Amino acid sequence: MKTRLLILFMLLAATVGAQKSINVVLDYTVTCAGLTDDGSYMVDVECKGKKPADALANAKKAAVHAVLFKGITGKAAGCTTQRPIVADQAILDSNVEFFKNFFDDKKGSWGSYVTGITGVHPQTSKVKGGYMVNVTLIVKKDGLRQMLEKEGVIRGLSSGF
Amino acid sequence: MTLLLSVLAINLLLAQAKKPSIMVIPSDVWCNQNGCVRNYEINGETLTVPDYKKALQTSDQLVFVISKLGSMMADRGFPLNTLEAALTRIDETAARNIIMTSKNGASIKENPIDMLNRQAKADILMKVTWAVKKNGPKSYITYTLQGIDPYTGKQVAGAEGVGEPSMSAAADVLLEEAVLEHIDNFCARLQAHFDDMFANGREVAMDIQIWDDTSIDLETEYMGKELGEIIENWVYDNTMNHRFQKSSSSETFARYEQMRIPLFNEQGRAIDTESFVRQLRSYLKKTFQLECKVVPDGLGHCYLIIGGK
Repeated sequence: MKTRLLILFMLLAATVGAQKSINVVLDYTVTCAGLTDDGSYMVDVECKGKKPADALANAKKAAVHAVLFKGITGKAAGCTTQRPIVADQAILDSNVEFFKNFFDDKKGSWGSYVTGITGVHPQTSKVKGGYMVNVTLIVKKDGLRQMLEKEGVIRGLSSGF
Repeated sequence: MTLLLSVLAINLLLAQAKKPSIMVIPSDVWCNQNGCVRNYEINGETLTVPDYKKALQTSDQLVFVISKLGSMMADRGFPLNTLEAALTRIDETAARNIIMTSKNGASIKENPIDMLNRQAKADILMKVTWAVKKNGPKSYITYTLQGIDPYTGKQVAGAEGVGEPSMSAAADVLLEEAVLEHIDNFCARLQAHFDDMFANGREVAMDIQIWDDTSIDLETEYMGKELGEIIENWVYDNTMNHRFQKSSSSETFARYEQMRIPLFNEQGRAIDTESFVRQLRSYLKKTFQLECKVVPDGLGHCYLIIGGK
């Protein structure tokens, strides 16, 4: 029993470790706000930061992170829960360095896959320890998937055939 | 020796598995609800079958769904076989076979199996069902997309849901939203199916039958073992992780399902069920001098008929 608990704890620690090492604030909520016909998700994001600008940057990164690893929570009819692009934890574990670089604040390319919506402004409120931002963003999910397939991180539908 | 092993290793690394064909078709329910069926009287019972040609000729929504799903799958590097092209090819082949003659006046030889095989087939069928419904002044859509493996009868992928009710959106717009909303979840499940196939082998089925002009059956003994047992042992030895299910058997028939066969042979060449069953035919011929006929039925199903060609 003790051994099983120890193994479970080690697996959990490794999973959390891999997620943490890729420099993303993991305390966020991302829900579906709609779909576009150009291969993007519209998402409502709620995320914290020390300053309003930090909170917005964290929210943008969280939106990309959710599309990649957590999936998008559905909201109402017409906004179904969407599965993550990288559904297998083992893929993250074996590509930690790649995702670390991808989410790097200076040289990472994550920013090119998320945009705001013209005329839609983020709502920021003061909370304990900083600011909370609520914002609607667009994440280019097809672009993300194609990039990961090209880099060999995930398999495409036609891989191996 | 080292060179040979290296060549084999490179072959295996570069080898590509046989790609399953995928086709979008309307589900039987949709065909029935939209009057796109044909009725046949067989032994006093009415048999209802989908009329795909009528469906394509009468429903612009169906053409739209097939086109939309086709372009989205092509964007993912997996172009689909189209139902319309398949039906046209069947008609063309039938017409060509009728009029084609050799210089000596001979016609094309065709048996009933060839005729039966001339139907719109694919290795994975994407069956789509939708209906636009009313709730007061608002319209909404219910949408189901199922990925069916026709050889095993299993649903390998699926996505379904109810669209957002709208007062103003046209049915075509609701349909487009439904397709967009569910395609990613469908593809994710299809990807999981392919991943499983690469890890554990292709799941296929095989039917063993006996010609009625032979005295051999599956209870005939060779070296102290019944033929049925010999075949079962061969299947056990040659399936990946010995995974198979013998779902029914008698002295004249046996059906093997959920057989996991390797995607490549020892030379690194891609194989399908026909190639796999041919190996069984060679074994039976070499070891017991039994003549057998192999009749393929797509990538995932094959018949082995014992007692002659």
